[in-house]
Amino acid sequence: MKKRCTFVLTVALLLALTGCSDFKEQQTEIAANTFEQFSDPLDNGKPDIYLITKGYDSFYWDTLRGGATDAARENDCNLYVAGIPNETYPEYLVELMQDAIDAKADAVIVSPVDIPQIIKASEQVKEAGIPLIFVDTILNGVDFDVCVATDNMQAGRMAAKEMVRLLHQNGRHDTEYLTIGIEISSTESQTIQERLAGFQEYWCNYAPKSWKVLEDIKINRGDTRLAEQQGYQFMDASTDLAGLVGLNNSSTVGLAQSVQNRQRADLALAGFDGSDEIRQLIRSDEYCAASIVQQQYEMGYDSVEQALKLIAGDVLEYRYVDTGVVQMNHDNVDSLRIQKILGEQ
Amino acid sequence: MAILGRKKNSRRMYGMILIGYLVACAIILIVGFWDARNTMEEYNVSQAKLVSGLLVDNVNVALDHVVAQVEEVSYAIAGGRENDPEIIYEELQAYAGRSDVNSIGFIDPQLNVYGKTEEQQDLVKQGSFKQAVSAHETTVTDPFRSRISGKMEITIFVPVYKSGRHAGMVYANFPLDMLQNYANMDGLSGQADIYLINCHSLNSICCSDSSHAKAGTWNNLALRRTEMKFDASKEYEFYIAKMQNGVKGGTIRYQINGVDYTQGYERIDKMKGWYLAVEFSDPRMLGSFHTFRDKLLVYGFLLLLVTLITGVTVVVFEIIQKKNFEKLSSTDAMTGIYNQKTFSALVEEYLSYENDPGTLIFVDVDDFKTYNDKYGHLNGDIVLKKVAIELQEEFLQNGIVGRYGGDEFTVFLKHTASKESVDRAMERLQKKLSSIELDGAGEVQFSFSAGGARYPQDGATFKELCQLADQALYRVKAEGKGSYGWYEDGEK
Repeated sequence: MKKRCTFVLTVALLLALTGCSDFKEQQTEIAANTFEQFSDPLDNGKPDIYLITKGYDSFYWDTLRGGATDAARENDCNLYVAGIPNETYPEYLVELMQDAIDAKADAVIVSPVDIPQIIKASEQVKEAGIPLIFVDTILNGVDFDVCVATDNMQAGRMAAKEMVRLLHQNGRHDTEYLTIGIEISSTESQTIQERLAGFQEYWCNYAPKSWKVLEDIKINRGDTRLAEQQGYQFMDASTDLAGLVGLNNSSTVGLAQSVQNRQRADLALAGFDGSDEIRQLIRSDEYCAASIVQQQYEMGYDSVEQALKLIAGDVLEYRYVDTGVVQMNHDNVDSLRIQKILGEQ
Repeated sequence: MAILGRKKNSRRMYGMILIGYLVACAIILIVGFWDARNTMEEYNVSQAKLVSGLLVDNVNVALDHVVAQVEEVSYAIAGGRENDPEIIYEELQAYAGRSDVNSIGFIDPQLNVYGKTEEQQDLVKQGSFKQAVSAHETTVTDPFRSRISGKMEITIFVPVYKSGRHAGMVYANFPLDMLQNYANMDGLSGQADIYLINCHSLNSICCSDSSHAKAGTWNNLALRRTEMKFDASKEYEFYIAKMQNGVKGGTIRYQINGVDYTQGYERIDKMKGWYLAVEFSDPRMLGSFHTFRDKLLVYGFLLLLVTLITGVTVVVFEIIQKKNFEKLSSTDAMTGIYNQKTFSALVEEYLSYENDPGTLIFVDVDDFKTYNDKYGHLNGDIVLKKVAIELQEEFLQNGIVGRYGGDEFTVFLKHTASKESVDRAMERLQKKLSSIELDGAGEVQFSFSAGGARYPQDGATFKELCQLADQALYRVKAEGKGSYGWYEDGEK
């Protein structure tokens, strides 16, 4: 693995010296910099678990890795962690999975991306006889051993349930005609798609029929400033607007800022994750807000525990572990549990 | 002018025919393209409807089959003596793993679930669980991810009645793969994307897609709506409304990122609120048709080009030939200048259409007979050719030069009112033709006589001008030849 890193750097140097095009230099630079490599294996007879994540240097992924690290320490096994900073170049996950196979890992935990190359790499892990654990994201059509993730459909349902509760809390009646606006970061993310599907399912089954979701779902591409602008657009376009929903962190941050800047305490806000912006709104007595928080620490912790069970030869009676979500609202925003989930304790 | 006018008219006519031909061809090509496009669209729509209908039939048959299996189990419990739910659950485990049944369990009238812990959690999590159970009728749930298999599954609830009394419900979980397989065809692989759509929540779940990576994933039509473009407004709303009103099936066309799609959708009778949608993109569905149409267009265009080039070549060839024939019939074979007939026609045309003045000149070679007799007929011909060449050179710009016959030539000068300019030209001509180089005789002395009459002062018709110019020539000859003179008033 170190050899490859050296090779990549050498290639980068050679290309730079031979005056290769800017594009190639850029690509090589990316290749050299985007790999977070595994450390060299320890030959200490303990189980070797390889964790590959599709993100790092962010609160979410660092917390998930923290959970995995704690589980490895408590269970006395070797945990090798590597990953890519974001999903811009998911192909590099394939190389890390190959590295884990080459290193004869006892188990591979990976947060996959839904592309054919990773489906094939997952099959190669299984063909090598290595237990395969998906964490955070599930891949359909792949024969994995177990998946530890948030049930995003359920998370979406909970966001809808929270919105119904907040609207009632804001004095809205079941017979009143009102609209709510939804904002997301991307149309391609499976996580977002499932949250939206869960939200819509709950809404059409349980929300009063006169409470409508606006058809114009806004997409902010992860840009919180755009998310804020889109919040204003919702407010300006609909006089019946009674609530806003952000189905991911960037959407929630932007919408929270728009609600606060316009002082629209009449609007209910349901979001995701535990940003300062949404927590500030939730804490306030004036505003009506709530957020759905994932338990990524448990996700990391459980994935290592599941890997150890598989290494030990246990036959699991389940293949999907839902680590669940927690509603963060005015009553529990500063509770120990929430603080722990958000890594503040 | 009439000749020139006729030429212009025929050129205009050729141009019109050519433009008409091109316009007709362009119209045929456009109409043909449009017609082919419409035919392909109709084909696509009919295929989408046909395929979605076939696939839904498959799905309905598959659902009937699995529901029948669970109902059979329900009848077995109803007919058995056992009433203890724990024991019923134990007995049910004999069916688990058979014919696609992933897991099976029992729910007593008090809604206590007898099944694995994970199954209980799944049932509770599903929003429709209590509704399905309290309905006391066979129900197929929405797809959900099973904790046990980790895959998408559906649950079938079938009520159990003992002695006419509701005694609980059997539930069985089946993999969604099973339905996905029935909702697919080998031949469609990579050709179509297949979805299950819930008409109320507008959630969709992918059964099969061209990238082979999305099967089993959720989406929502509201998200896709952001990318869809429709020909008519409210088309999307009608499409949703039709499904929500329970229509059996239909088709819809839309564009995503500039690509045309046709979707056929059919109601799944056993899954309340669910439709199966088959989506074809035009390029995928009609790839071979497009190639066929495009090739036809290319060959049609080439054919058009060839016929056009051939047509133009034939017309040009005809024009050249016509010009040659005209030239041959209008000129004097020996000197190459106009013959008498053409000369008179051209002058008469001028006199008819133009109000401008003109001058007719008769030129006669002096003592031509002596050239023939003394130097031979070939030299006589040289003399005539030389005179013709010099006359043409002198009066090239605005004159019509013709051979009247024998050694007589005629010149008509257009737009000429001044005697002086004609006199100067005649003097130049006399100088140039003062001697001629003859074959075998060298340079010999030469002279000609000429007489002119003006239009309209002297005569108003060609015939009149000819007579008057001839009279002037006669006078010049009588006065000693080798000179030039005008018709004078009263001269007879």
